[in-house]
Amino acid sequence: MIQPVADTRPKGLIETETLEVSIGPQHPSTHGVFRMNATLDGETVVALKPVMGYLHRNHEQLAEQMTWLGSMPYTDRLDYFNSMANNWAYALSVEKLAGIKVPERAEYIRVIMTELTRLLNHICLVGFLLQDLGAWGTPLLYAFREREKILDLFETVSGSRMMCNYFRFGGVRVDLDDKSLALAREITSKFPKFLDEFEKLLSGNEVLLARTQRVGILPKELAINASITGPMARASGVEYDIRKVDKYGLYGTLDFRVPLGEVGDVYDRYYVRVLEMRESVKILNQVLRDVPAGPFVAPEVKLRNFKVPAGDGYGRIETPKGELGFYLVSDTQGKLPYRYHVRPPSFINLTILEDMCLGHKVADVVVILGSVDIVLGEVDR
Amino acid sequence: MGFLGKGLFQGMAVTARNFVGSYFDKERMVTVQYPEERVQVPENSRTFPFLVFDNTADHMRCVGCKICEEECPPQCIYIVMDRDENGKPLQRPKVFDIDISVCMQCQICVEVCPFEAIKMDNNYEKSQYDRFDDLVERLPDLLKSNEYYNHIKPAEASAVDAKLKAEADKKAKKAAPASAKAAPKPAAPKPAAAPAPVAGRLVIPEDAPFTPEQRAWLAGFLSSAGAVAGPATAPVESAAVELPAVEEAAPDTEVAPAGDTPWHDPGLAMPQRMDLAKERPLADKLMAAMAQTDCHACGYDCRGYADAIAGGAESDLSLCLPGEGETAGMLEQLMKEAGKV
Amino acid sequence: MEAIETIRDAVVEAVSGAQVEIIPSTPAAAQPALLVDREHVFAVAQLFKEDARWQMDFCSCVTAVDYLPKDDKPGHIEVVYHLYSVARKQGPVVLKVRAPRELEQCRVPSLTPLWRGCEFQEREAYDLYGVTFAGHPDLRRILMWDEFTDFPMRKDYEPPADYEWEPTPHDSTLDRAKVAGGVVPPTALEEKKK
Repeated sequence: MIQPVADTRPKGLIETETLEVSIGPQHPSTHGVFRMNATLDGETVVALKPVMGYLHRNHEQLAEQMTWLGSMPYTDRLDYFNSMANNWAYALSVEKLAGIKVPERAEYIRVIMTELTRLLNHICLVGFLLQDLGAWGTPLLYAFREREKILDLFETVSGSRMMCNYFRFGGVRVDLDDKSLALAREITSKFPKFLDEFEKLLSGNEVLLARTQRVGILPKELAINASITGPMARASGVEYDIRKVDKYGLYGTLDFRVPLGEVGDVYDRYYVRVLEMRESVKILNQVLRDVPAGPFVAPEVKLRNFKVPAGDGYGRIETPKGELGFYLVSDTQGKLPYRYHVRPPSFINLTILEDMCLGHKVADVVVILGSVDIVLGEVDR
Repeated sequence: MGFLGKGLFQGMAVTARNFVGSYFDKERMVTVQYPEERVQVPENSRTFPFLVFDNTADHMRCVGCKICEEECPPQCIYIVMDRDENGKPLQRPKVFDIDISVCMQCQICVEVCPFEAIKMDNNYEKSQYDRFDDLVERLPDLLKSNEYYNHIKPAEASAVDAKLKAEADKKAKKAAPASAKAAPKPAAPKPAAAPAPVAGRLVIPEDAPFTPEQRAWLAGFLSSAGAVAGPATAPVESAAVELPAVEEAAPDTEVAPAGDTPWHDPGLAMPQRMDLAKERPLADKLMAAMAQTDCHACGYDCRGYADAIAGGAESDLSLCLPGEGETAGMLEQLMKEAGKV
Repeated sequence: MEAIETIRDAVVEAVSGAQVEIIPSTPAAAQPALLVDREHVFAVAQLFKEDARWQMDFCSCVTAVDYLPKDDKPGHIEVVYHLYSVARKQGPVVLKVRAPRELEQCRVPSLTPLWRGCEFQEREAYDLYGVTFAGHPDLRRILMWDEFTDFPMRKDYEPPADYEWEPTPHDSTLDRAKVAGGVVPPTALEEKKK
């Protein structure tokens, strides 16, 4: 499966040895406490084994001891950049298990919050990727400036910037008032201009092109076989977006395209995310146009003593990182989950990290890891 | 078609525009010089919980039903109900600790509280020097006035006030046609041990020109710093002093409507309640065994829970949180006597 | 996708000797699973991957679930695979395979040779549940550290008593604190449980 790099140098000239280096876990560019045991021949990577588990917080076992609702704040902390998306994946899975129908206004609010999350995740990713490439913070902080506006909106709506705990089974926790809706419209209207400026800064930049094109190529068949999802798979040409396939929420009725890459290198992954941001703005414009009035949560769902029928089920959504799924098993009592498993996109997208890094230099390893878009909260749970 | 380096020059133009623009354009200059300047947090912003009292600290809304303790995901709340020397629950907490090093600010305690007693504060400057004891907020630190709540969250607090007023009006209307209280209420004795009093520093002098409302708000606001707002006029008292004796029952006590359910009074002890329900059918006796707070800890109100047990819909007899073991034991005994267990 | 009974019949027909059972999910979720015996699960999975009817080229989620012995039913550990098809945009097909809970016998064939995506997830199931996947290229611990000896997600796992001191320990934490601090003997915990 993993082919070592063929060594074509003539033997016997100079005795060399490979060097095993641990990149991480304390490293500014590994996006968290993540370690890679890289075997290097000079500067070239010969083998690379990812080591994770430094942020393992036992989330799945904690959920077995808490009620269904009590796990909701913990899902915020899985992929701590996209707490709204994590909440939706969990709420969707429980609604699937229990057969709860979500009112229309709640669906609109959910799409608005998740697409805004997609915007902030992708600009943060681009910012961090550029940070890893060596652009010392300029694109990152421009990205963070835009992210602050979205985080302020989240604080107005849900009470907290990052750990929103906003979604409930059957809807959302509180209604979206007019002021927040106006703020969301303002953010959406200003975002394309920011994206234009950002692209002018980055997309034609020769240094970026030289360092990211033809680096970390992921072939399409390997991407499908290794269960890669999200923009990383789409950059390799895999046409699979869960929003289009499962049509959960409102996505069946919305008009948006799914950008695909051709080569599957780092540049494609970066550019697919930029295009996805533009598509998200398009979705937001459609959804924000008129949000229907109505209840924001299904009235029959109880907050306390909420019971789920016995059985199991798997629910998944397209978070900005990929496919986030929850496999939930409920026993006959129904008050606590019997088994709660998170299918984390970042964890599984790391499967082919080694394949992508073989033959590249150490500096490229950091860039490739940056383009995989991992968040350790999700990798380790 | 561009020359080599065109992308770089374009990028530098963008950076230059941002740099120069940050001197003129508010959009580009986003740094806030904390702590000299602070960003005004939005109204809904939440950090850690606090307990609300109306008027004075002994009118706290919390009845010690322990629903928030049960629902809290990281289990950071610890409540002990205050009891008199006979062991009768006094419908208020003696101990209410929130460990803010554990609290994840999820707001679930606020959502499940049936009495609008616990709300989220938005104060984020909570650093302490000691990791363990100083990061536990106890009952005097947590009690803040309704005026403070209205100050930090005007829209939410006014909605809560309107809801509580509507409920109080409805209760008054229901009790008005009934005659005076059916059962004589024993005067609640002094609590055996007041919660740990915190020595207050008199920060606001007695002759400072504050209106009673302002003092009330200050009492709540400064109570977290251990300050005392001074013995101002009228009923304003700081939350940092020990609770005085409770002369009347807790504020949410229902006036027992004469006729149907004379035992529906949280001020009555179990033997008195069971005595009042002596000759009644099983459902009434079961209801008399509950804690009579209608707190919905069990998922119903007291009447509903009793009916559910009597009808067979509910088999769990231990759901009454305020009633604790006493209620569960009595329910078991009643069901055994009725031959239904 | 066809009804689960049709799929089951097709599988039984194609893979000789396979014992396939249908396990329903919650009524609302409508994701019934196919329980396959250990000897034939690799062949069944290969059928799903390569057959033109399904073309399940994408293995989305691999989970292990621990079922304790209850009444007179022996317990088992169940490994659940969720398969989707990217080529035909259909799914999921849920495959379940069971193994006994005793460590030496808790072995199932690995599906990593078919789908590379199972690699990390099967390692996680090994790490947390003790399920050995025969044929896995690199079966070692992934989330726990390498020297760790127990399997933490099993239902009968007892966490060690080194708790972190809380300012207000209460209920079970207080009991464990008293035992760990030597104030009461460990038997006090057992009596409390009764």
